[in-house]
Amino acid sequence: MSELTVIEVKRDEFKTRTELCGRSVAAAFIGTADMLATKDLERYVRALEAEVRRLAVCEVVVDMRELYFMNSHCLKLLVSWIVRAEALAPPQRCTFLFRTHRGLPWQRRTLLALTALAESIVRVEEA
Amino acid sequence: MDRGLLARVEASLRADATLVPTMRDLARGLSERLLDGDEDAPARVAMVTHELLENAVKYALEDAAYLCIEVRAEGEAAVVTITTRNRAAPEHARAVVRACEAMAAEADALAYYVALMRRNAPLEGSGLGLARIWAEGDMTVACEVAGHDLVLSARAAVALSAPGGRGGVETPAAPD
Repeated sequence: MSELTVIEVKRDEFKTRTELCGRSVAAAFIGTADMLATKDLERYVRALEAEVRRLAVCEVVVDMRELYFMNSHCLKLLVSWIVRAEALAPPQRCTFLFRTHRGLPWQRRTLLALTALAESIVRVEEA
Repeated sequence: MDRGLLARVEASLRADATLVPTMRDLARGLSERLLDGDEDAPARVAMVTHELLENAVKYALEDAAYLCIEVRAEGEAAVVTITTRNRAAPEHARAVVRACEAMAAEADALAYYVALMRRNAPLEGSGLGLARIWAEGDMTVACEVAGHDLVLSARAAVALSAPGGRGGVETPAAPD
């Protein structure tokens, strides 16, 4: 299998850490994803989405356990990807598993909306 | 002294995005102290403060934004009002007014929020942040154009502190 090729976001206030594990990709978001990080995150999400398709990845695990906050612009980047993924036929359609931290209550409310958006491909696992 | 007033924090800021998380954390801390009867309230108030202030900073025509967080006792509850004000371009102010009017015409916050998510709208000016305040923050949103200024406010009634203070889950520390 080819290797995953994405340029990680490495800002002071926000970082990503991405790993390919078989047919799953683990993407950890760390810090605060706000207007300062939007452009970097947009570039990252586009690249990761392309890699997920190229490598026929089945599941994207978004680890939010160290994500202190995400603004609506950054959230919209994930939302748009989920909407595009949901529209694909099953062999190309990946699913999303969001790992959240119960000590960050905003995540529960945000993921409630994402689950309502695409129940068939979004799952949440709270730590 | 205004007897119903529990706290009022006002800040006039440079339109500097790096100040937004600081004000968000201040809002969260204030809510943790005053709104202990609703365990989700601090996170909601923090999120709403961030969304509103970031909007004010981002679209400020001049290098200035204003934030006010007010907590007022009303019976057994507290009414939290978060207000931002900034000089705004007329087209931006009109877009925000339209977004507020669209929300006011809807009954179901989550359904409206999810419908907005589904729209293939451009990132800028989609109204998603305002819908998030309503759906995730459980706060109503109002806007007013006052001369060249755009004034946005979010408001909700939440439970006041219970005796004995806050227990529960430890929140991860914010990164440096």
